[in-house]
Amino acid sequence: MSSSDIRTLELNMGPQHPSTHGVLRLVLRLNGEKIEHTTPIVGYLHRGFEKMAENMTYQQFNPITDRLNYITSMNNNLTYAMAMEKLLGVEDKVPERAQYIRVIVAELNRIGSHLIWLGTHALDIGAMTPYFYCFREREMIVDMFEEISGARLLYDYVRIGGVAKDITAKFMDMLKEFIKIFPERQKEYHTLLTKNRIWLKRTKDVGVINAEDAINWGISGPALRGSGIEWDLRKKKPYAVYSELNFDIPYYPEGDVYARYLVRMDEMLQSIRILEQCINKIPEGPYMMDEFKKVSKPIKPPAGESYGYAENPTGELGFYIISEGKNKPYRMKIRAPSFVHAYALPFMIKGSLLSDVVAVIGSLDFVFGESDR
Amino acid sequence: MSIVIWGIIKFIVVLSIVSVYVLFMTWFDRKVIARMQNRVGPKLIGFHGLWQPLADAIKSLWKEDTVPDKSYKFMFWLAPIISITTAFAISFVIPFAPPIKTASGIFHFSVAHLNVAILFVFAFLGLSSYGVLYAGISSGGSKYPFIGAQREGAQMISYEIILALSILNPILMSQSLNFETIVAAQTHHLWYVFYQPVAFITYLIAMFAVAGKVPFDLPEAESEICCGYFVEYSGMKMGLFPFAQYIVVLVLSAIMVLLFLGGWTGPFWSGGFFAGLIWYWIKVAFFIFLFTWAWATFPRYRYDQLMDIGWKILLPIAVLNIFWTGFALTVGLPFF
Repeated sequence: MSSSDIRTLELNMGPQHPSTHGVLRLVLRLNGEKIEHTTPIVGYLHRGFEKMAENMTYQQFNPITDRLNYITSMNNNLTYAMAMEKLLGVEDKVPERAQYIRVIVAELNRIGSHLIWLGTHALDIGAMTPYFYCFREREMIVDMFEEISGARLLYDYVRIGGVAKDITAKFMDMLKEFIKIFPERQKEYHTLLTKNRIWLKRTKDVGVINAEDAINWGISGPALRGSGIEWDLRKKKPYAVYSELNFDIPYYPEGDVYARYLVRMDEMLQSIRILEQCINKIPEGPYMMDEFKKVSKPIKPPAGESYGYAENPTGELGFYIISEGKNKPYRMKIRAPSFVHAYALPFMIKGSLLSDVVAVIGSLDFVFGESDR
Repeated sequence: MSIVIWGIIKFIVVLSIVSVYVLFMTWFDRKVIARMQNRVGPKLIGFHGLWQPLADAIKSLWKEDTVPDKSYKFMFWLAPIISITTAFAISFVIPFAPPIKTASGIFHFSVAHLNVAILFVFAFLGLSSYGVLYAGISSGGSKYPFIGAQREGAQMISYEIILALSILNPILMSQSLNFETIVAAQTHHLWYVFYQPVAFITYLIAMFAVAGKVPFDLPEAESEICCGYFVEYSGMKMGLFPFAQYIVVLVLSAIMVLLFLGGWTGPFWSGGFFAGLIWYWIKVAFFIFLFTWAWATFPRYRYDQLMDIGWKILLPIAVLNIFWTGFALTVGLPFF
């Protein structure tokens, strides 16, 4: 064995690895424990959604969007519905009550997604307990969704032209209870992590990406706000009824794992603020446009194209749909934040240690259902 | 002759006690952590799941015992054996109860009553890391065990030094390497923790690192290197590594109590065999609980940070503390 053979170690991390959040595979070239080169390999969860869309009617594709980022199904539904409404030119005709319900479920799902992110992120860094605390609160959210949609993971609740069912009085009670409890519970996570010396050592100055690089790599969502850019589609390009609601965009300039952690922690509280306002503001009325109530009735949008976008918990999700005037799209492109983030990962972990890889992966909140599509 | 017979009896008794303790600890760990995390923990087998460890042991005995084709078979087999024998060997010099006076002399509750018990402990603690190193190296070029073994090697070298330097202070003060003598010395003074708070803290930190427990469980960091050195092991061979680790936890806690917290003496209701026994095990149980508590609370340090803490912070402090102790003893400061 010559000396050049023993200099670096090629380590295959994933697709079966506890901390690659699903099926990301990284081929790392290590010098000691220092990372010299990383090759991310995605596609282990590829199910061909974009091609499937071309052979399905527009309504049939709605449940498929659930399976993109299966943790944020409500947000995916919402993005797809908005893209379709834009294509159909009925954006303004969606009932206001439906828009409020959409915001409520989207924000609840944002909290739910951030809770899973926090639990797994902490677990990656070695803290076991926050995971169980987070799932305690997420259980409340999942119960709420079960109450209105009947499902606990893939809801298919937000539909083209409104939502599938009206929300119930029981749901509203559960929501009020959740809003009351959550800020108190979130303090428990803060006591476990935010000022924890080991947590700070593991997350500060790790996986740093500055604002310019973050934009160049196409990073979006909390990861972008963690690099000090005040960019949130809910505020900058408001959709649904976000323009009528009052909330802040949390952002931190450091660009490290800890900044991204703080952004998401603050975002959960902002979501609670939005929910509080929605409860007071939600009007009575129809929850769905009459012409879309029947799922069996084919939708034939005019020939043309549209791009629907929304601020998802992981980043910016987009649907680009081209219609030829038939009941199926000609082409559908899905812009998935996890896919973009996965390719920025090597840049962010270059030169850091093996332990930092899992910290950075955790802070970017990948879900590979969305990346691999 | 009676010494030999007594030795064999003690050997069997301690072996069984320690084994039962380990089985109990796996249940205790899971139950305590479950309570801390709003869960129930094992509860189906026996009273509150008390037979769960037994079920686990039976399960791992019946599991297929795979040995990787490319592994160095001899070392691969040797590694868990080294781990477990060295761990048991250390437990044989630890007194399990205060000594009692009998007609034929003093009866010691340890398998071997050595004058140099602490030296023996450190010799075997050093050897026990070879189990982990062999496990990592012999796994046939498997990379996760290799990284785990690397980390274990560096961690043990760094922290055993700190552990030894911390222990040196009570040894200097009591002029003995025997646990019972050190405890006896503490009955004349206060407990050594009051003279040596710094050594107490450095020992406490180094204890976690040497046992390889959270927040210093780097050799087996399951979220980074998927359990590190025993990735390639299965069945009971794999079970022996945590088994040995639990014994090391017991031994390190016991040494902590014996050297710094006065062993079987208590602030009140001391004297007498049973009072001593209860005081001793309450204190040991507290430190064992501390390991579990830390496990549920802390994240994990990074490898370079672990080395920084060891070499840049703890080592200078420990060395300076020895100078201070030596100075205090030579000059004869009032409390020393």
